[in-house]
Amino acid sequence: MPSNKLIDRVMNRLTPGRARLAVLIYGLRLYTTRYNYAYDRLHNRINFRCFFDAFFKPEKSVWMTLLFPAELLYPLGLSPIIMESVGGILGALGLTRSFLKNTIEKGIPSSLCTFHRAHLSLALKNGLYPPAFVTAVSALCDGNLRSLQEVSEFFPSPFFFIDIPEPDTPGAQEFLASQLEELYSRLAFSRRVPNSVDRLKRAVELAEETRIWMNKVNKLRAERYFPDQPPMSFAWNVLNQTAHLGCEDGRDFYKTLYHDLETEGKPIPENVLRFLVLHLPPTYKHPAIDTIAQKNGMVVMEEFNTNSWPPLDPEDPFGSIAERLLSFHLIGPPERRIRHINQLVEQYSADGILSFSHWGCRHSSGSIHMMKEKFNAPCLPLETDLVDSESASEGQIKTRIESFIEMLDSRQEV
Amino acid sequence: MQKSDKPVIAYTCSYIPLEIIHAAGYQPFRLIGTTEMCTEGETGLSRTICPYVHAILHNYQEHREDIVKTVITDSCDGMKKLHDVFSLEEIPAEFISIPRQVNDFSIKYLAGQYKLLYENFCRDNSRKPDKAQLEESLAIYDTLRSKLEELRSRAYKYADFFTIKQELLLKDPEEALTAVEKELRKPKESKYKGSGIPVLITGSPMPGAELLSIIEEAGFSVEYNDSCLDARWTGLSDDSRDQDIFSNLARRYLSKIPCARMYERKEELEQLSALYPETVKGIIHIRMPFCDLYGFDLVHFFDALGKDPVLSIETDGTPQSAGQVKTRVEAFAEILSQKQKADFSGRTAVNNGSYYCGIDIGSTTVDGVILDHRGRVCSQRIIKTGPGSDKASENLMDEMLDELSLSRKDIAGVIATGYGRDSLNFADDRITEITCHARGVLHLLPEIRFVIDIGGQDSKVIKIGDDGKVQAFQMNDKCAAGTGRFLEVMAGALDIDLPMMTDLGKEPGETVPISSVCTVFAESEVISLMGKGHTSSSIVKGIYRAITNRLEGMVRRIGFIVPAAVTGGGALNKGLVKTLESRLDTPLSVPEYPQIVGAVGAALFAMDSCSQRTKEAGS
Repeated sequence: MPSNKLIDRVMNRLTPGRARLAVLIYGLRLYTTRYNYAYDRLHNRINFRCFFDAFFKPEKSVWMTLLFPAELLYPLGLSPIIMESVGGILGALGLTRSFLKNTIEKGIPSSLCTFHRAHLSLALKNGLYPPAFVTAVSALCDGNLRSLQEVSEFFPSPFFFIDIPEPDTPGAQEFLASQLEELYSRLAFSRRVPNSVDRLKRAVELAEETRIWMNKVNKLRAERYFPDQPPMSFAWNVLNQTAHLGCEDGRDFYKTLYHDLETEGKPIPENVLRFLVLHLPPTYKHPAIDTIAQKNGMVVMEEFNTNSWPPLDPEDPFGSIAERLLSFHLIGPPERRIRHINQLVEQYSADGILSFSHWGCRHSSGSIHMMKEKFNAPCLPLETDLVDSESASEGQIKTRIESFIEMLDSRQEV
Repeated sequence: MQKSDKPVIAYTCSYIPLEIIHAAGYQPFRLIGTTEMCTEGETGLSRTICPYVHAILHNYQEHREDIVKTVITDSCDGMKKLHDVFSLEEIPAEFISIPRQVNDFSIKYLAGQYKLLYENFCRDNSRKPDKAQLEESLAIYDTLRSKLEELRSRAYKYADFFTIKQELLLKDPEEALTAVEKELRKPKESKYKGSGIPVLITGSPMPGAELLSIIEEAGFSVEYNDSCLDARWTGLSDDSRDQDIFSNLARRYLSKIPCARMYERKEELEQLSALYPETVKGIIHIRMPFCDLYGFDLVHFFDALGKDPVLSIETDGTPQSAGQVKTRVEAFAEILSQKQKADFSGRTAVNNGSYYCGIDIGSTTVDGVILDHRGRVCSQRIIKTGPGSDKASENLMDEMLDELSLSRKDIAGVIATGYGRDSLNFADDRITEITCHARGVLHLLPEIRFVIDIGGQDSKVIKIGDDGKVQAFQMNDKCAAGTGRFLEVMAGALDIDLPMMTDLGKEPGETVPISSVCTVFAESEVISLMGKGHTSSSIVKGIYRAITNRLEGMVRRIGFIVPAAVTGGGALNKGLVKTLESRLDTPLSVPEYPQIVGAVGAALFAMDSCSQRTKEAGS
């Protein structure tokens, strides 16, 4: 790994043009890598395409937060990129420390989620092209609105915001659907897209197909896996179910994955410890995951890759999308999440639950210690940072995971 | 809680209409809590949820016998988690989702929820929903709100008004109206109003008026408190164009002065920034730990006004942190009022001596300095701060006097600084260590514009303008990570002394990262790293890196300029200074005696004031 100082020096000379070069080199690497599976190749390529568009066709690129309905963007010829994935890439490359520094200078609190601080920093370092517009949803994270608003002002690019209310409140779906409709018709009008409603219906159809394939994959994952893939290789599939929803790529990804898993996947051995992972996965090689793999454990499912979406109806696109967004188990009362997790525990015969309590994420970890009492499997909340690799104290994490596994083993023996 | 014959409905957020609770026959009670409750005991919530939410939960637990139901909103992630606690423990509660934008959709949605809330309350209280009653409640609260505004414009000490306002809003509104009218009939007091530096307070809600008192006592007068416990609580819009009473309520509450979670907050911030420099001379931004929303406000103020007129205080409000907060606020007042001379008017004895004394009472050591009339250091002493620091300081001064064969009357002025400055009864005045450090450094090393002070239990960074005055500063919070204490604990874990640490740090080789920011955890991490066979040298470098990370964060927060110096006991550790130099990419100066810089500054201020006084006496 290059020294912090060298990274700093390079980063201080960052321009969007130079970042373009980095994106090209990264792309070249992706395209020349040999993949064991077709789904893996597709995953890397479609996600790279978002980055490519952000740097080479910024006029059609849209910066968005996780959970923003991408179905509204594809019909208008726009290409979404998820801000959290930018943090992810920086984390994976080990560059976060250099990036996080200048956000402090700006006054941004160090307790803000590092996913947000990373993309804010990249924008502040002038490493991005102004996109067509910036957009955010309110759900899941307090940081979404203000941090994306900040980024949009910095470019400057227009900013659009969708307020996702609490589900189960009267009129929530109508409130959300009317916002979606207003935003969509505004965008379609300003971008002069003909037949925009028909195009949207097609996007919702594709989203529905994606949902069906995704659920088939999730069902199959209870029994099959790829032994030769690194642990948690499915972790970032979550990008495909948000950024690629409403386009053919998203559907094809899950279709291909299903096919690969069915033909080339192997049955999950009986004697492994099956783990369910809550919250987003770490972006770098995390000691927790390594320890699980070393101790005959396996991550069978990740919370963010599951859903409880109802079937989507292309004839009622806005109502359908609103219903889909509100059905997400991480929003709403805690009982909803508990119910969902317990369904997963049963479906995947999980022996244990590992919950990543990401530093800065109040939403996922604020009440985890109370919730875990109601889970039907033992849960270890692990306080760690998913982006900043320097914050992970290997010794402490290893001890926790190992003793958790010892505890699970002793339960099984009984 | 005010005992009332009505059953009590508790609520957590200023977006909940008191009118609805009152009209349904309940007594509204806002869960705010006290500063002590912010850090009191454990709750089911994680420690990354802000102390204010913890205080609300403790406040609820204290009054749970009296509370029938609690209304919680989704105002921020912390509040949503608070609702999780209520929901998981099956405590009766209503959950209201407050939209983040003001438009027709959001008003309709919120109106629907308000209506349901009212109906639920009426059902709980076996009443029929009554439109006339609701309108009556609305009118009463409108009168109360306008009366409260009138009360504010009266010349109260702001901290008192803040407390009275909260007390009144916890009462039954009719009773509150009688009380407020009684207050209004009292004769006007004009003692405090307008006497201080006008300042705007903004940021996270902070229970209790202690912090406000500290601010006022430091010499500020609070022009406007942009808090949901004051201006944003009752500052409703008067736009009531809707036919439906709930739509009207929703419109008025949603368009009130927006809080940091709202889309419209940006416009509000522009208005607040525009108050500077005509209406207010400075902005004090208060942020609870883990409150990111108000952190974004700070970004705006920095961008709009620069860092100089903005003081950012991050505090959990506990009485234990009051000392640190006081130093910051006082230093900010010293910057804004450009205080350069101390007030010696109380000293009547004629001084014919030409020696000046500065005493810096820190958390670890007491440092004393005596300067002659040319500003040369004649004597200096450093002793450990034990219990009874005023006695120790007196002994220290006597020792210095003995060394110079002087007596007390030869000393023309004494100024105390450091966290124990208030306890020194023989000092002529007290000035914060921030201002004294800047002054001391400029005297010893005139070219310096930036100071990094690594003290025993606190560290600070100070930016100095070309006029020699403090422009901006930062201090560490209740955490030893960037301080001398951190070094001491780590040296203890490695079983070496501090000079040995410097030698080990010089050895070539790798650096083992220390990931824990907490001193206690870092200590156990160091022990486990030694167990893994890492060399002491690589661990020492890791320790330097950890402490440098912390200091660099503070440096970046106020913006780094050169030439810079390191002071305090930490500056004696050459390895640390070297690591810091390489991190900041610039050479750093270290004064000959880095520990006495604050005391030198204090003595210089004593000298200034005496010469000023002599001039005044001569003219």
